[in-house]
Amino acid sequence: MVPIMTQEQPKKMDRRNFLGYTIAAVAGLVVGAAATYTMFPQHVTTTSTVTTATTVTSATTSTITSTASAPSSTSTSTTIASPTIVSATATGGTTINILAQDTNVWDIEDKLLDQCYSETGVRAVIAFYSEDDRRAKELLDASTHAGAFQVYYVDEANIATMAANKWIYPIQDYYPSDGNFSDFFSSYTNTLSYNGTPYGAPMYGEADMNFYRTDLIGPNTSISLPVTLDDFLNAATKLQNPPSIYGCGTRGARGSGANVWRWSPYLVRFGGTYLDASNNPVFNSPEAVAATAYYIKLIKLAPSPTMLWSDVLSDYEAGKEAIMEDANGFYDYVDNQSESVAYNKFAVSIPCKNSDTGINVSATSCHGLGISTYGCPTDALRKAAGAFIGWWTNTTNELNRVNGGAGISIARTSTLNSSAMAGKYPANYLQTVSACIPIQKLCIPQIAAWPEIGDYLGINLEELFTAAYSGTTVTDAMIKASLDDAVAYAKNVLSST
Amino acid sequence: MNQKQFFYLFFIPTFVFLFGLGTYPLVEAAWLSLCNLDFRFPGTGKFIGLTNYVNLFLHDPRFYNDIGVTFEWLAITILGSVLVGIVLSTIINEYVRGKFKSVCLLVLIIPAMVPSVAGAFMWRLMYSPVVGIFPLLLSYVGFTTPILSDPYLALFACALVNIWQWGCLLAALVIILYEAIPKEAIEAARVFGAGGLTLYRNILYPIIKPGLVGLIFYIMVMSLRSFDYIYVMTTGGPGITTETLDLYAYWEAIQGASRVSYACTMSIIMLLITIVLMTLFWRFVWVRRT
Repeated sequence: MVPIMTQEQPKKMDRRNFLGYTIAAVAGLVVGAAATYTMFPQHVTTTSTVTTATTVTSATTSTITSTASAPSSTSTSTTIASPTIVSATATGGTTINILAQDTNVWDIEDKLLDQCYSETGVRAVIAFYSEDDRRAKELLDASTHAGAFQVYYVDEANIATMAANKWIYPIQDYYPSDGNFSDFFSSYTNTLSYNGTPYGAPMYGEADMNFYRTDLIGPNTSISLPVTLDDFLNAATKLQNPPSIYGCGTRGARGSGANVWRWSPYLVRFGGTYLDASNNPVFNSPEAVAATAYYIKLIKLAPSPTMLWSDVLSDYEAGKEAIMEDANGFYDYVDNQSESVAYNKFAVSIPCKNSDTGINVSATSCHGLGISTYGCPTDALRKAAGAFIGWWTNTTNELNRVNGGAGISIARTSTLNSSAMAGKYPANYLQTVSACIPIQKLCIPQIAAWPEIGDYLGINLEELFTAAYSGTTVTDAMIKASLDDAVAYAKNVLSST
Repeated sequence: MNQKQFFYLFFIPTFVFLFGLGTYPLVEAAWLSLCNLDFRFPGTGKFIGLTNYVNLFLHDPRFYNDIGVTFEWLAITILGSVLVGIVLSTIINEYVRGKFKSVCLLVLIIPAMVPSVAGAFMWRLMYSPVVGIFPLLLSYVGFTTPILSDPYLALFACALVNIWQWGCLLAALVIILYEAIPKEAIEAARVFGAGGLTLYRNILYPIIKPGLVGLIFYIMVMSLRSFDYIYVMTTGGPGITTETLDLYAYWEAIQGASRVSYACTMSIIMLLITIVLMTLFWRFVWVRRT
């Protein structure tokens, strides 16, 4: 093709070239349209009436995502990535769209979607996103009342926001009556509750426990198994021998699921709390200062003061940490012969209690499924969503997960006591989980503004940790000032909401 | 129909589509920056005028920190990339001949082909105090501080990844510019006694300067893409020592709060800064050309 800027007169195009280019252009449009169609969830339909759910408009999506990347047209876009979508092969019935986070539990279950249809008459279309994208997509879908999804994947971080704004229904209103909802761990149902009402059915639960190296701590060594926080610190201090091994690993980085998630159970064990009875922020109390001072001592025994959970886990797998207190979900990773140096050289125990206050806690987090208010405008859709959630979280499918190798994240008491679990996990792990149940508790506040307050607190904590790690003497006054700043921010946020 | 008409027939729809796709979000962002939209709370989204801008400039010290970090990032990555590009290209052009030069070109282009997120993860592993190569090498000279946890080093560590990608690409492109120079000009200069740095300073650089300016402009644009590197490697930490303004906007809009309007305000400010910087650079280049 002759460029526009040529001085020559444009030549006439022959018919063959014209047809060729036109066919190529049309083919390109068709391929692009087909690719675009497969990227978005299908419209909701029922057998009796055709109901077309409104979807999040591309304009709205591009507006929200583009504003976050507006600095330059070439700057990296922070758009929500396109999801991976799986669905049942069957047709007919009631189709519902599920917005989900990609975890290992789905690897086993998405093969069973056709079975779900045959048992419930509900045809499920699941769109998988990463954690941050999933939360953002849920917020967009719910706040704009788009209702593209009938079922949301909810967790402790966003359940309060969703429930407070009535973007999801109380789950027990539509959970199957034969679903044995009381079989779920109460700590998990409490985690997915708001003002005492459950809004999500648990399907992935975690609770804290200690992971310790049996060749360094325990009966055959010079260091006894820690029972109190002082024991834990002493054991870690004695074993500190960098770069060969570090005393402990713990999260210090700011961000979602990072330092604040690990700091919160220490706040509880030192007798502190986030909010008082009037919902005023009080996490700058003397107890909070003491908890932070203790946590800083642990940070100084870690490989780095700004570790994420993945760093803590990978360093433990590399045999570089003697002990860590973290989520039980790490067990499968550490117990992996091909990937973990600590394989066959570790055991678990319940978290250590504070000998001064006598308080012990195993911090929980929980993911589950909830029913979207705007995605289910009719009772039929709500029942269909409830039927799917009930099927997905029932005892049979949870046992399927155990048999499929994803038994770490079980949410039901009956599953914990099943022969399937006994066959998959050693007695040490099962006994520890059972021992943690009475002390399991959600340690972060269930308020809509938590993500913002938690992130700001995380920044302040990270500054303290990095200062201490670099050799600066971090005094209680400095800790108090940092926590005061975070509390002031929290008060400002809560007063404006 | 002639070829020119055919070209317009297929170009105009695409142009209109892309123009709309780029313009609509910009206009919407500008409008939202004048509202108080917060997705967490129904009933927000009302027009509030310049309140967001006032709050940003007068009541948000974090904004000034992030502006400073952004400029620091730009300075480090642009200067670093240009320095690495020119030094590497000069050394390779001067001392490498034949097929090995092609191999060098290929090696220099490879970093730019790595997706920025993947590159950031790779370098994060290399900086790891437990399994990373850099802490191991630095420990031999007595330096044991975790690099990404040090408030003074973290930004440089993240910028190094950007320089690795785009500085090496700049070096490869400058080598190609050198190869386009007529050999006779170089030989004539050498006959007259020019050699080494004199040759480059007085002969080669002036010849490749127009192309080099364009490449530097491209490097500036790439340097604006700080989000990937910093988000993966430090998420803006330790504290807010590596938090750039686009990261803060992301935090406000999506991750922490959902104050979309406040985030749009920051985005508009960033856009204005970008326009001013690029305009100043282009005027500088244009004035020197004329």
